[in-house]
Amino acid sequence: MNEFDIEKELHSLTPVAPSEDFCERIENALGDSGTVAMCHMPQSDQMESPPPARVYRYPLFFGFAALILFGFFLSPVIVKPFLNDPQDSVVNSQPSSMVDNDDSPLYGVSLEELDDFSGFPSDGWLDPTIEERFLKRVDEGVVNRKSGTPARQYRYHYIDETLWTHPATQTRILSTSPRQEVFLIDLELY
Amino acid sequence: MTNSEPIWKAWFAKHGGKLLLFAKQQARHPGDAEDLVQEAFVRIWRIYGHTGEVSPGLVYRAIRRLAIDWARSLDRRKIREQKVVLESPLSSSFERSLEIGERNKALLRAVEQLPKEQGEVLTLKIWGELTFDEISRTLDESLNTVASRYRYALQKLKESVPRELRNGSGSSLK
Repeated sequence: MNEFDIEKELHSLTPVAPSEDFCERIENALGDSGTVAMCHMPQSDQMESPPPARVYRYPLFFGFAALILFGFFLSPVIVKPFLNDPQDSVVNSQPSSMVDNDDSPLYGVSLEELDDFSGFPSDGWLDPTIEERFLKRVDEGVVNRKSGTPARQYRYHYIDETLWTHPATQTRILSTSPRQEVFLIDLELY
Repeated sequence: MTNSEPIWKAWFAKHGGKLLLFAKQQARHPGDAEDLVQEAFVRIWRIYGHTGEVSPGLVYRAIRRLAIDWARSLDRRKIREQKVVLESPLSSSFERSLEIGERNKALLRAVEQLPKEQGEVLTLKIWGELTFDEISRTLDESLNTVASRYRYALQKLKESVPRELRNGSGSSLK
């Protein structure tokens, strides 16, 4: 009888399965976590899915774009500023009143022009009010930190709302932008 | 997945018996084995269960660490004093079939007589089906130590099984 035979004999013995009572105890102790089987992350699923067929159209699109750009580059209208003296460039040929207007949020457009074009007054706005709206919290399961310790990852979804008010014209502009924050909560294994 | 039964049940049916076997070796008191498995399994499943894939090595490791913690705990000592558990031979932890003969009984008696360090490595390797690397992490020992203990355990069994077979008629299996 050699060691290999002993290993084989030991393998042939099967430990007794846990009793029904014991399994019931485990089930009670697990509670809700026992019924959670799998947590899917839709975003990661999308990332892992094969690329759609339209991806193959991109080379054609880029080819077209390159051809158009090349054509524009060679046209006399565009080529001229590059060939002439830099002092005669389009920007420098603008009136100084348009270029030097520091108050205007748009370069080269004066505040008066901005008022006319946009239909909104440029003065008289109140300070914007910023509000953070919490949407949902998603448990993304356990991730491993670089240190090797596990942590549970929660992703918080917010909408940031910025409201500009102009009382004189009773104008209100509301801007919303989504934002996410990720929190890692260290887990104690033992 | 259309299966309505929670995943943990299938997982536990596969590994529960092996975990209990290991817990019996680790527990300072036989009555603590089930409690150890329950505590360790529930802790690990709450963390990793949502993935549906829990490495058995993690649960073995948790069992070992809990057993050490509980051995130090005064509260557990009080609970142990209240419990009345009969000592049972190792063979009671294995399924009894018609094939289990004198030779297997002698083998299990020999396993019981192994030093604790060798016995736990053998259990994790044979019935836990862990790799030496996983065993070394479970027991916080080096890979070489673990592999040596396993080899020594098999050598010892090779020597002691024939002796147990000779003495077997005197100590029958309960």
